[in-house]
Amino acid sequence: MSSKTPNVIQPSRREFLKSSTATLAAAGGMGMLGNFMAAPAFANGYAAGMTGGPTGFDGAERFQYNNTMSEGRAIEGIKALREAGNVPQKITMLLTDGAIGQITKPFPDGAPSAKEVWERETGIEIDIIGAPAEDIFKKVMQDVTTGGGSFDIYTGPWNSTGDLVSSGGAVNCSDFVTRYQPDWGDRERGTTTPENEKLLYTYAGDYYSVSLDGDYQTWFYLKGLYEDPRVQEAFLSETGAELKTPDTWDEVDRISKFFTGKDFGNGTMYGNGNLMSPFWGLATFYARFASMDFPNFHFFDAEANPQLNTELGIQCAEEHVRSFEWSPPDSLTFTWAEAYATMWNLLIPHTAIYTNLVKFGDGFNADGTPKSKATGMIGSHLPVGRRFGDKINRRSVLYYNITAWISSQSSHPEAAYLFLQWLSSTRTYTWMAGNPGGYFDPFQQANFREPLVASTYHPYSMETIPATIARSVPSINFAGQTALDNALDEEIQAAITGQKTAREAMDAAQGKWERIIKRQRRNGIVDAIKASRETWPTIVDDA
Amino acid sequence: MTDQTLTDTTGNADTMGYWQKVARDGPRMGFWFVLPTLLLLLFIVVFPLLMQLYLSFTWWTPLEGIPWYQAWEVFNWGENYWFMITDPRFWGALWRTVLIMIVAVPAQFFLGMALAYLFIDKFPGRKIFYSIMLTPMMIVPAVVGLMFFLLFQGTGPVNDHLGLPAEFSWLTDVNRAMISVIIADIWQWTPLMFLILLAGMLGVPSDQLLAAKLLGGSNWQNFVKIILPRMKTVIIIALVLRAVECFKIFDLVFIMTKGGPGVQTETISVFLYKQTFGDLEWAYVATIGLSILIALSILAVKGLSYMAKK
Amino acid sequence: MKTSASAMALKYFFVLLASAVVLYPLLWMVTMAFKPYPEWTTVSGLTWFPQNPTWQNFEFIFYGHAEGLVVSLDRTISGPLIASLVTSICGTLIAVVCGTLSSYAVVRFGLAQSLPLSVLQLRLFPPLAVMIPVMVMWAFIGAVDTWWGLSLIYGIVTLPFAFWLMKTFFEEVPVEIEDAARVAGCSYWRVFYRITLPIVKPGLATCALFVFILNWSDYLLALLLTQKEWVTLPVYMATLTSAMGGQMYGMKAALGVIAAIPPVVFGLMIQKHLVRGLTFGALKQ
Repeated sequence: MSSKTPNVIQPSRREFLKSSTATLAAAGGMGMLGNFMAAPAFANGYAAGMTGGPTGFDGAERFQYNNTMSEGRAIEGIKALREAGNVPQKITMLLTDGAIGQITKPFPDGAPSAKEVWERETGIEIDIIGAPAEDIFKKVMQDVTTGGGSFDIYTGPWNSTGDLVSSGGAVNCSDFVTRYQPDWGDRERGTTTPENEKLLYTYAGDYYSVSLDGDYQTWFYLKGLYEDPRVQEAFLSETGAELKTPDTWDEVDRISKFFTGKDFGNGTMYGNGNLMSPFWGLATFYARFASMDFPNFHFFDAEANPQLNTELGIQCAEEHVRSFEWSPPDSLTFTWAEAYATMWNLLIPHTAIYTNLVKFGDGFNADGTPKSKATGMIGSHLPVGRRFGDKINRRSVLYYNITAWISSQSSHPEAAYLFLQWLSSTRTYTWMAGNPGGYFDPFQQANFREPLVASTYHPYSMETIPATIARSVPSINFAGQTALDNALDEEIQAAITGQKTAREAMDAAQGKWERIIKRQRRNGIVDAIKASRETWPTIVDDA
Repeated sequence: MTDQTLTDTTGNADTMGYWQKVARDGPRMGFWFVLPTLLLLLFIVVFPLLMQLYLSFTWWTPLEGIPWYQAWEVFNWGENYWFMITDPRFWGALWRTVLIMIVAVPAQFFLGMALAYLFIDKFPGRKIFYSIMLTPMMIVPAVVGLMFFLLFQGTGPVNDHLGLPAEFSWLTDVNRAMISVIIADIWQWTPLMFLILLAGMLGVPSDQLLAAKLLGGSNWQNFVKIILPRMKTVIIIALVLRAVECFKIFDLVFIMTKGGPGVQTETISVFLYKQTFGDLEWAYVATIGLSILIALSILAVKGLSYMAKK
Repeated sequence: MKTSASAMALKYFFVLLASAVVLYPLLWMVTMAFKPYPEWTTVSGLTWFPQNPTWQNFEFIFYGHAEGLVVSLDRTISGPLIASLVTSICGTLIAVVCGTLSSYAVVRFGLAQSLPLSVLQLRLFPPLAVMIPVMVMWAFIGAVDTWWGLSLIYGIVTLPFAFWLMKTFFEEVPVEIEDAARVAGCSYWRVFYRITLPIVKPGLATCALFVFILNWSDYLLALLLTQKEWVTLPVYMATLTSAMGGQMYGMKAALGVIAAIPPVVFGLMIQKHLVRGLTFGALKQ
């Protein structure tokens, strides 16, 4: 964070001043104060004026609410539905399996689990079905297309919202949003910008998706290693440059190349820790792609033609393929978890990856043992980009991002919505984001101010994650996304494994994309592509 | 019924009369016996065939926003068939499926034959070894996939024991990924070949073997001249059985490589799975599914009539 | 057969080698099932036998949590275990009952001579080639994610084996026995039920176990036709992933060990008869 970076809060603040929702501001400000004021505990465990939320641990009042708050309105909503006799016995949720613990495991000591709090306050049981992250959307489409109706709530990658909406599988929640006023876009506590709220929660102008994650690929590096004089010396003598955190992809590649094959006392290292495997590696490719031009290099041009086999596109593919040389063996079978392990075992110097890398790998377990060999050694920096004159267009990407939708087959969509509103509102979500039992990551402003979140994600992330969010481009998220991503992914993998040159692969991918767009034209894909271009950030930094 | 009737089976009965009765009542009686199977067959054949035929002439995908029975709105005059014929991915998947078949099945056959030959006559411990040999085919294929996924990691036991470096990746290498899958398939299904072939060998009447031995033939000569010719039917059945099941290979590949790297181990089943739930190209899947059904039916009928002639 | 000592040594060499190849992957899985988390991956060195053997993996899949693990499961193995058992058994019943009846009719009444071929064709096609219509049908009749829906498809896909296996057994029952009973005044049904069926009883048992193993091994059909309540063991295995450690290899291996027990036990029980099922009676022993 050494370079002059505009405060990420600023745009929203300016917006906010223009708007006339002064009451919201007051409420938000109070909320902030409440964060740090010790409140007297009442007999029922709630702080003064609060009617619900977790209890039983220090600071629980920060996550409690009453019916002037988003969570409280959800609970009130359920009560009203119950009086009308319109609540289900239980709500069934299809959830990525690694996130289950965040809802079912109590956190911190003495607290109930999120599930217990909900069930206590509403009497509606939450039934969670796990599915592997890569395959969960197949499971969703299975349920949609066969009319199985097994779930009230689906979760899956944010990218697939368009596919799900087109297939008629998701409920339009706009009416619910108007009625119950969730605080997703709250200027003080919610998403970092109004654009961000639009991106995460709406599709084609309506509310369909509820974000439960912050999958903005964030850069982490082994600070301890970078600062080791032996390493610095070796780097200087080999490359003639000083070893510092990279600002551009060229510097990333140079550092990757340097570390590959070196041993600084923890075994032979590999230079490239970024995800390269099928499905997950797309994020790495997209991030590199987005910064190829100034200020952005879009996946599609203004007429919605793919830009994969343009000169810049091919150059990006070549760089991406070359970076595989510096990757650990088996990295093509890695999911995020195996990739984390390489950093935890000090085998890679840096990686742009999901932020829970540090939640699970830095710090200490309850019994005092370090979570991994990398405990205390990890640092974080801004996304990298490319130099254009005296500017750098730092870019990251929003990819995957666990997102929930209400199934159009649910017999109680309103109750399901209210559960989601309760779960995703800033108080409950902040509490949950700190929970190390799963991989929902922080993305709301309130998350980054919360000591509990900071204690699991570490203070260094609390600055870089919001800065990364401000510089993140959305990956593909309109109808046809699965087909587009799969087509590109297969070609990239073909290039990485040497079956094709980067140019051949990009040519082939371009052809497939054009065909898919042609096929989807009648479903409005061209408008969706154009709309998506508008959501890209324009923020650039001084070099 | 009592034992009495059971023992009273001497040829007093009028067999002709029985068969006449069967000829008269059989169809009526037999109808009820066949009915459940017939219903199941009709159930599983009629609707799927019609639906696939219908869908294969449209663009329809679940993203279309209309139910599948309204797919005529996006009728496309058989363009899917043309696309299939010119789709390198489809032919690639078909070729890889056949490749696995023509490598794995003969390998299983020869290994199975060799093993069966070892087990022809008795030796101490034969029973235990026999049981060991059969275990792989009892393991759930999905579990076998997981086992080999773990074994073939670059940092896994195979590389370690063979003294290969961790960079010698199996599952993510263009050629070795396919080899890994084939090895896993051979491991799992050689026992089946072994079992069938051994039974075939033991089925050769021992007096013929004895006669051959008295004539002074060596073990090998006896094997080639006497045992092998008598095993012909068994061998054909074993090969056909494995080839048919091998064509459908899914679990192993899907769990070990998901068809990767790229599409290097993508078989027909994996390809269809990805098209169905990944790309959601349902009309296209229907086209391919129907084509495969027709092609295999023709093959099966031709093959059976050819075998019947022999 | 006389065999020299060297030939015998050679034979043992090959038999031992084959056994080693067979046992190598199995051993890796079994030991994996008893390894604690740090030993799952080989990043920190490869060990054959668990350095700190533990029941933790089994404990986790049975209780949903285990001592010293921050992750937990919402669904334990008990549901999938029951689902696997129920659907495999019911599927087997459907296949065996239908297969037995119809093959008897083909053998004894000379009916439906095209049936053997049609039934065989059923086994020929990759299931994925017809899965879309099947899924639509299953959804239409409300059979998705039900025990009977999965049992039904299991019954259908294993019917060919049951049919052909029982056909070979019926072909070996002498006509004269049934004939005598028939003359004694029994109805066709009674002849079948009281005379023929008891004779082929061992065959029937073999057939049932064999079909059970086939159903138990299925992954694909359960993957496509179940969602939550009736997920079977192999499908459940794929969901054993945690946020922290990714794929939970130890738990998966433990599950693999459990899933292997019924088929191995049954398989060894019927290994003598297995052959007949697989060769469709080509060799009459």
